[in-house]
Amino acid sequence: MNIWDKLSSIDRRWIFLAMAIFVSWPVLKPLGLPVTTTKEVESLYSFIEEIEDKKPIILALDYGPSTAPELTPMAKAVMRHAVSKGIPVVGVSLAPDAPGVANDIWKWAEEELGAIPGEDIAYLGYKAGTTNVILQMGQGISKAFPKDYYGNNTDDLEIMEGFESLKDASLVLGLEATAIMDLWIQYAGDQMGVPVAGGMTAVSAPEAYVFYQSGQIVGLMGGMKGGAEYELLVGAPGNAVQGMDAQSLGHIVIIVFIIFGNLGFFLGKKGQDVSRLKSLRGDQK
Amino acid sequence: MILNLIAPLGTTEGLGIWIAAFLTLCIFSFLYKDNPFYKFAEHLFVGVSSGYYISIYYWNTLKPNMIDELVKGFKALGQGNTQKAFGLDESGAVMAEPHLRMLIPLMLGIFILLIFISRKNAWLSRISFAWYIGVASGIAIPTAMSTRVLLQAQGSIRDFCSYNSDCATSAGLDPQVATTALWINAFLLLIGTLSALAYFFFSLPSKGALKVMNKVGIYFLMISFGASFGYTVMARISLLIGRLQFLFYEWLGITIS
Amino acid sequence: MIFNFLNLMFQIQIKEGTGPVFFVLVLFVAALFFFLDKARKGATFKIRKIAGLDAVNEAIGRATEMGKSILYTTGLETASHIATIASLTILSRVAKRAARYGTRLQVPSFDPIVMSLSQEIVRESYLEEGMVDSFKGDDIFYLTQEQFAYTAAVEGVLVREKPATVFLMGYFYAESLLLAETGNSIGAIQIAGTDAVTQLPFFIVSCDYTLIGEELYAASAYLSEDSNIISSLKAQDFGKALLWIFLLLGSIVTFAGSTKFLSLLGAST
Repeated sequence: MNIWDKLSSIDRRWIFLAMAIFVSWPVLKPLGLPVTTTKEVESLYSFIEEIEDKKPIILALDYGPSTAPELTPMAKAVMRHAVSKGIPVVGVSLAPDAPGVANDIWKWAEEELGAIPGEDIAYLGYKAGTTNVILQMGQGISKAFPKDYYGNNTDDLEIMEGFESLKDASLVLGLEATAIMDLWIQYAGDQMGVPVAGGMTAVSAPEAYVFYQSGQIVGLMGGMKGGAEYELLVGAPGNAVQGMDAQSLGHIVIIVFIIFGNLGFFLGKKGQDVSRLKSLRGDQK
Repeated sequence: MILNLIAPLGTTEGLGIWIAAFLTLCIFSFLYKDNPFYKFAEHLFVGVSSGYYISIYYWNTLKPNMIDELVKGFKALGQGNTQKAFGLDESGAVMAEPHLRMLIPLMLGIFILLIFISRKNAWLSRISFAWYIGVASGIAIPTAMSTRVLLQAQGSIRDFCSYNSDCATSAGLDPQVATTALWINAFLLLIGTLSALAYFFFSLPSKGALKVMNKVGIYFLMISFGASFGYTVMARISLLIGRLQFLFYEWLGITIS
Repeated sequence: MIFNFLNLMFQIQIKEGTGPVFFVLVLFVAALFFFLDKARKGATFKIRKIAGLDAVNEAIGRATEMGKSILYTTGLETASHIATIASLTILSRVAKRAARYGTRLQVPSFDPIVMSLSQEIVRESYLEEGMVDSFKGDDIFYLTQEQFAYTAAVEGVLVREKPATVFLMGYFYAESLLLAETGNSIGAIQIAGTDAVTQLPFFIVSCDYTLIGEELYAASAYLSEDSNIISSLKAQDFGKALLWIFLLLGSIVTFAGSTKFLSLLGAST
C-alpha cells in the first residue's frame, strides 16, 4: 500500500477526532473571524424594516429539536427585530415536534425582549394537515386555530384585532427543515399574494434559491450562517455568530480531507477501478 | 472562559440537561463503534418518538376533530336537535363545526384500516384513497404547476430583458442593474435549464445533439449537487456546534468571557 | 398567428390569473389521453435504457453469493407520494429476484400504510415465484415516524445485520447521507434513487448507482412493463419538450426586448 492508498483509506475515526477538536476549540475560545452578510438575508432585513402599518408577521416554526441549532437563532433574531419595531409576531407550527422548541423561543421573547404575550406576540401551536391548515388560515386564522397554544381563545387576543386571515399578514416567514416551505410559497405566496420569506436548514436552502431568484420569496436565510447574518444585522450577536468560527474551522478540516481523499483516489490503486470512478462521477449513461 | 459548576442535578431543568447530555454522549459513542450505550439510546429514541407522535396525533387531530365533534353531535341528537347534530344552523346553512358530518370521514378512515383487518373487504379502502388522492391532486396540481413551472419559467427568462430599459421596466426589473454579470447569469441559467431538462427525456435515445446536451446537462447537475453538498456539510457542522454549545455551556456550565 | 392563438388561450379566465395554468393542464391531460389511447390500441413505446437498473440484478446476485441479506427502504414519505409509489414498483422486482435466489430481504418502514403495502407486494412476489413458504412477514417491519429515530434504527440494522446490498429508493430528507454513509461503511453495494433534489448529491457520492430524479419514475415504468404507465411517461416527455421550446423561444423574444412571453406566464407586466 503506497502513501496515496493510505491517504484514501484513513480510518474514519481520525476524521471524527480532527473534526471534534477543530470544532470544539472555537466554541470554547472564539477566534472572532469576520462574518459577511449576503443580499438574500439583507433583503429580508430591509423588508421587515420597511413594514409600516404594523401588520403582523406570521412566523411558521416548522421544525423540531433536531434542527434547532440552525433555525432557532433565525427565529430569535427576527423576533428581536420585529418586537423592536413594534411589529406583532404570530407563531404557528405545521410540524408535530415544533411546539416544544417554539415554546422555549416564546418564553425567551417574554423574558429577554419584554414582549407581551397576546399583545406583541402569540403562539397558536401545532395543527396537523399542512396544506389544509394554510388554506384554512386564508379563510380565517381562528378557523384553523380556535385556541392558542396556551389555551386562550384566539379571537380574544389583542394581537388578533384586524388580523382576520392569512391575507392580512405583512409577511410569512417559514423556518423550515422539510418541504413545507413549498406549501407556504404555493398557497400563501403565489395563491393568496402574501409576501413569503424562508429560513431554511442548510440542507434545504439550495432548493429555495430558485424561488428567491424568480422573486417568489422576498428573502432567504440559509443554515446557521443565515442566522448569524441576521443576528449581525439586528446588532445582537448570539449563538449563530458564536458558532461561525467553529463552522469555518470545520469547513477547513473537511476541505483538507476531501483533498486527501481525492489525491488518494486518483493517484492510488482505487483510481484504476474505472467502473467505480464512473459511478462516482455520475457518468452512468 | 470561566468554568462554573456542572448543571445542578437537583432541579427538574438540571435533571433534563443531565439526561440530554448522557443521551447525546451515548449517540456520539457510535462514532467509535456500535455499542450497548448507542443501542440503548437508539431504542429509547424510537420508543419515545413513537409514543410522542401517537399522543400528538390523538390530542391535536383525533380528539378535537373527530371525538369532540361526534360527542357534540350525539348530544344535540339526544336533545332532539337533528339540524344542529349535523352541523346545520336554524336556517339550514352549513356551520363551521361539522359534528355528525364527521361520520363520513370516519367511515373513509375505517375503510383504510380494513387493509389490516379484513382482506375480503380491503377493496373498500380504494374509495378512501380515491377520494383522498382526488382532492389532494385537485388542490396541489394547479398551484404546483403555477409555482414550480410557470413562475419558474418566467424567472428563467426575465433577466434577458434587462438590457432593454422599456422591457426591464415593464417586467419589474431595475434598468440600472443591467450588468454583463447579470446577462451571463441569465445565459448560464438558460443553458443549464435546457440541458438538464433534456437529460430527462426518456423517449429518445441518447444520440447526436441530444447526447451532447445530456452531457452538458449532467455537468450542470453535478455542479448544483456539489453546491448542495457544501451546504449540507455546513448543516451537519451546525448541528455538531449546537450539541457542543449545549454540552459546554449548559451541561458543563462554561461561560465565554 | 400562433402567438395570437397562445395569447387567446392564456387569457381564458376560469378564475382571475388561472388562465395559463388551465391551458397548460388541458394540453397535458390531452397528451396523456392521446398516449393512453395509443397504448390501449396496442402501440408499444420505447424508453431509453437506464443504466442503474442493470446493477439491480448484479447487486441481488452479490448478496446471494455472499449469503447475506438485502435491505430495501422506501424512503420517508407516505403511500400517496409519487417517489414511494415508484419505489414500491421496484421493490416488487427486487422481491421477485430475492425470492428466486432465496436471499433474505428486509424492509424497514417509516409509514405504517407503506409497510402494509410493502408486505403485500413482497408476499405477492414470493407467491409468483412459488416461494411463498420462504416469505417472512416480520422482515417487512414498521419502525417509527420520527425522522432521526428511524435513521438511527436503520443504521442499527445496517451495522448489526451487515446486508450485502442496500436499496435506498423513494423520497428522503436530511437522513439520506447518514443512511448512505453507514451503508458505505459496512461495504454494501448501494443503489439509490430519489427525486429529492437536495439529497441527490449524497447518494451520488456514497452509493454505487443513483437514479436521479425522474429516472426513478422512468425506472419503475420500465420495470413495470405496464403500457399505461409507460404512456404517462411519454406524456411527461411531451410536456417537457413543450416547456423546452417555450423557454428557448421565450428567451429569444425577451432578449429582443418584448415582454410578451413574460405576460403569457402571468408576469407583473
